[in-house]
Amino acid sequence: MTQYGFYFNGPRCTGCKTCSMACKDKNDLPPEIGFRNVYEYTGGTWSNEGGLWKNDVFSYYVSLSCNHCASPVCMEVCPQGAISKSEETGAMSVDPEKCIHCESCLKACPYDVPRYDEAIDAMVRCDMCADLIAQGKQPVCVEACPLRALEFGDIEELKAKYGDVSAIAPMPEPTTEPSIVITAPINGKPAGDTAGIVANEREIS
Amino acid sequence: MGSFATALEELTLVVFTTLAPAGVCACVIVAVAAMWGTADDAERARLQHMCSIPLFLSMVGLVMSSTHLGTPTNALYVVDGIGRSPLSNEVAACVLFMGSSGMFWLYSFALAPRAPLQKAWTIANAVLGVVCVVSIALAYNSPTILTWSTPFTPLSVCLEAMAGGPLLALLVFRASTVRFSDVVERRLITAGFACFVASVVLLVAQYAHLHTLASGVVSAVALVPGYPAVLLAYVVGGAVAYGLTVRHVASGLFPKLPSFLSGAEGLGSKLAWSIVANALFMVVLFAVRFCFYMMHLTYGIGF
Repeated sequence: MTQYGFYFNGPRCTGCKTCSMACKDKNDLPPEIGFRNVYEYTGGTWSNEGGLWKNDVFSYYVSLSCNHCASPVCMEVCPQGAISKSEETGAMSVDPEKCIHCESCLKACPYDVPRYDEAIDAMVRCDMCADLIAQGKQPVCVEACPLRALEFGDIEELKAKYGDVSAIAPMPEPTTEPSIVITAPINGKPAGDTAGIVANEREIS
Repeated sequence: MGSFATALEELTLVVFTTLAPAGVCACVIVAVAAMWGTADDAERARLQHMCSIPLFLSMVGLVMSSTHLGTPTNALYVVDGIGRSPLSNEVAACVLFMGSSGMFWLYSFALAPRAPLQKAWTIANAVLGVVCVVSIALAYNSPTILTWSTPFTPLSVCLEAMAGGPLLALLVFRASTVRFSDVVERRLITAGFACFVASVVLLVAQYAHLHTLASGVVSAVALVPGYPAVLLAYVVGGAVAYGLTVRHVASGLFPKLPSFLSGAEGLGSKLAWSIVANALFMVVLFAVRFCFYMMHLTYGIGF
C-alpha cells in the first residue's frame, strides 16, 4: 500500500486560512464542519531585566486536516467497522451506511478530526480529495495555498525530502503514525509543549 | 465545546452507566440468593419475578444509550467490531446478559420450572453479568484519551456497580417480601458499603491524578471545576443511602431500639425507605458519572 500524506511548511504559512476555506467550498461544508483547520499557537511573556524589556513571545500557525494515520485509532475503536483505509492511497473514509454517529472515533482521535454531518447523519472527514487525486490532481487545500505551504504526495517521498518531523505544538506526540511531515515555523515548539495556547479556539470547526 | 456541554451531549450514556452496572450486579445477587439462599419455592419464584426491577432499570439504561446514536438502524453492524472495538464488546455483552436474563425471568413464570436448569442458567447469567459489567468498565479504554485510559476508569465503574447493586438487591428482597436472615443482609450491606468506600477512595485518587494531566490546549482538572463538590455529594448521599438501609437491619440487631430508629415500622415502610435509598444513591452516582464525561480529554488538540 502506498501511504499518501501532507507536508506542511511552517515558515511559509501566514495563517491566511485559504486552505480551510477552499476545502469548505469544494466540499460544500456548513460553518460548524471543517475538514482542515489552522491552529494559531501563541505564548511567551515579557520580562524586565535591569531596566531592559526582554521577551520570549511566539506565535505561529499549523494547518491540519485528518492525518490519515498509519495506526488509526479511530478505525480501531469504531464498533461498526464503518471506517476504512484505502489500499491505494491510505486515505481514511467513513461508510455512512454503517456509521451510527456514536462519536467513538471523535472521542479517541488525538487530532479532533471526525465531525458529525447532520445532512447525511454520519461522521465525515477529509478524504484527501479522492476525486481530484483520481484525476491526477492535488487536494484542493494544496492547490489553494497562496504561499505553497502545503504539499501532497507519497509520505515516504515527502519524508525523504523534508525529514521526519510529524508533530509540533499544539499537536500531540505522534503515537498514531500520522501521515504528515512538518517543517517547524520560526519559534516552533516541540509536540507536547504547554507554554502556549491555541489562541483561535473559536475558529476551529 | 465546553466540558459541561460535552457531558450533556452524552446524557443518555450517563444514565446508562449509572443504571446498568448496578442493575446487572443486583440481578446477579438476587438470582444467586434465590437459588442458593434459604428461600422456599414460592419465595424463590417471587424473587425471580421481582428481578424485573433491576432488569428493567438496566434495560432502560441500554435503550437510552442507544438513543444517543444518530442512526440506530445501522447498529447491527456492531458485531463487526467484537474483539476489536471496546464499544462493540460492551454492546454485545450487554445484549447477551439482558437477553439471557430476560429469558430467565420469563422462565420463572413457568408452572413447574426445573431447578437444575435454573441453577445452571443462574451460573451462566452470573458469568455473563460479570462480563457485562467489565465490558462496560472497559468501553472507554482508548489509549489516546488521557483521562479515561487509566485504571481508575474501569475500577470505579466496577466498584460503583458493586456499591449500588446490593442496595438494589435489598430493594428486590423487600419488594418480593422475602426475608433473609439478618446475617445475610448484614453481609450484603457490609460488602456493598465496603465497595462504596473503596469507590470514594478511588474517585479521590482519580481527582488527584487529574492534576497531572493536560493536553496541548487544556488541563484535565480545568474540565471538571465542580468535581470536589460532586465527590462530597457522593460521599454524603451514598452514606445516607446505606444508613437508610442499615436502619432496617438494626431492628434485628438491636431489638430494643425505638421503632422509628430501628425501622421496624412494617414491610411497606421498609420498601419505601429502600426506594428512597436507591433513588438517592442513583442521583449522586449520576452526578459522578456526569463528571466522568465532563473530563473527556485526548492527549491531542481537542477542546
